[in-house]
Amino acid sequence: MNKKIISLAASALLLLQAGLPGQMAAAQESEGPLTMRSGPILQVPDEYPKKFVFDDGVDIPYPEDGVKGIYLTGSSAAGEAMEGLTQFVNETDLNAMVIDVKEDHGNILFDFESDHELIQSNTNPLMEAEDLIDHMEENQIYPIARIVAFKDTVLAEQHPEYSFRQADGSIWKDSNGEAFVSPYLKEVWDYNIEVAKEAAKMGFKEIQFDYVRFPEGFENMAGDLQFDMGDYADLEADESDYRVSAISDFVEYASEELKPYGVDVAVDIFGYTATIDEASGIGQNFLEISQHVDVISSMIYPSHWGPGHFDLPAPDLYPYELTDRYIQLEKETLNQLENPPTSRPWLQDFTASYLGAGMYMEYDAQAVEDQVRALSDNDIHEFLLWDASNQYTTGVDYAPESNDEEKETADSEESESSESQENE
Amino acid sequence: MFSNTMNSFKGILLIGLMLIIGACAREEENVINAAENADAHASNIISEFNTIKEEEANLQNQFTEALNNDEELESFQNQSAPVFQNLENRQAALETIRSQTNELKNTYTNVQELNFDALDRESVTAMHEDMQAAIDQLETYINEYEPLLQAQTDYFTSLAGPEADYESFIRGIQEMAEQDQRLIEIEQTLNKVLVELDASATAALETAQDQLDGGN
Repeated sequence: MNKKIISLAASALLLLQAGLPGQMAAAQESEGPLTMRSGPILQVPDEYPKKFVFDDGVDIPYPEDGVKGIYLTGSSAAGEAMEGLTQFVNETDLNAMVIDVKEDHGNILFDFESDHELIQSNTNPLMEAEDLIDHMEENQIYPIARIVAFKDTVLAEQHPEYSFRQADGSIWKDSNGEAFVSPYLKEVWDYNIEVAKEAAKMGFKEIQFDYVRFPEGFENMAGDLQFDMGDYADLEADESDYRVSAISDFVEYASEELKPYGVDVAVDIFGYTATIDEASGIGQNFLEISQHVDVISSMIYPSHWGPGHFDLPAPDLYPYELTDRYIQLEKETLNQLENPPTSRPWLQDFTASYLGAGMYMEYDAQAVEDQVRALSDNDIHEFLLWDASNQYTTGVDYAPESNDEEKETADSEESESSESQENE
Repeated sequence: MFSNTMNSFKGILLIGLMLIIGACAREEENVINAAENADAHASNIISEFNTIKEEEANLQNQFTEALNNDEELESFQNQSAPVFQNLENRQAALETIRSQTNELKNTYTNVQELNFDALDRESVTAMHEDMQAAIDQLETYINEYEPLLQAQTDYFTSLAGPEADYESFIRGIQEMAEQDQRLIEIEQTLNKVLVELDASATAALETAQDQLDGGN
């Protein structure tokens, strides 16, 4: 009898060892026998029926020839300049406007009648958003909302705990007197995304995030500044290892959150980041950001490249060459992605006299057109023009790809007509 | 006569001793049986729980494909979309967990009726307490999970309805994530108590076995 008991006990022990430990092997990262799922049970899919996409009721389709736009401050959009700028767009091959919604200081320029406390307190409306969108729809100008993300003096002063602080507790500010807020903080992410949602609901067709980065030179200052790293604080490696993650994670999160609103998401990024692995000081990795957006708008102003870049002694003097060489490199970089975003670079429509004699030139119609043509010659037909004062050069051919074709056809027809006249 | 009496007394004593030893051996057998049963029930529960997790892992693809292939959402209206089978499978697994939990409760009751004085009190008590903890946590899990299944069924069905829009579409997914988040802590505790039960059941079984060996 005892031998039978022992035999049963031994079997039981083997069963326990075979059963539960076997289950424990299937647990993967679990600390027990149960399989624990990582990640949410369900996420919003990439594609879903139109029924579930927010309908803003604004009929401004995506430009067939690609977006070719100009930048406007809120003041321009709300003021007297708008009529002239609208006419300018209407009379050319331009078709879009990038308009400040949350500007460089952090002010929100349109009253969205939002319930969000921060949005309410930081709104300094210049005009009714509805009026602006109505105007855009009337003129069929594609509206893009510019949202300056992490440069935000208004928010920093309102919530110093979100900002970068000096040893004495004062808010750090750059040479222009502007403060940044920590890209590590989800509170900051959500605030910017809430503004974006409001802009989307109002009828903007695209959200363009700008200043999606840490301050320039942050890698040299981080050790002396106090700032909150939010969820990234719990991670074990050095702070500098997480800047790129924070920026890329924000972009990914923003894109997910904005999906149901049917808007495209764009990010402005320093052009030089496409030429290096990553800019870890400011947290920008060109490819990582690109894979989470619909549009990547690289700032490739010739004046912003140092002497020698792309083998050009003074890049500002070579708008065609600079743009041509850059865009070829960018295309090569983006081709690493399975689903690359649309490339829509920022082009220079201003004169960079601050570069000093011999290093800059007057940016006239030819200079602007050279940049446009360089893109077009590389089969890139989308771009945005930047001038901080919103005074854009006239007489530029903004669609050389189609205008050249038309011209060739016209020339050919004229030539045939002349020949047939001669034959008669 | 005395020797006869003594022999009788010895005989009675011997029979008595055999009865006592036999009784102790039966208690140890009962402990071994209880430990084996606890293990069997726990193994079944673990298997069904992991089935639920596998089904959960499939849900995203099933949901995405159904949305991609059914613009009019008919498969949600008539509940033919794979997500509904997924829900049924999870419900079935949950029912098995429920029945196995009831079986574990029976085993718990059996242990409660053992003569602890005849056994290694510490090991049997530990197993007994861990059974209670496992049962409590399992019931908490079942009571929390069942309404989630119903909520998910209601959500998927509602997508085909006329009132469904982008807000309800997104909100439903967000609510599912929030409910799921509350479940994580319960599951983690369940994981922990099952580990503890495994350890205490093993210890109780080994102790019972040692006692039997010692009896030999």
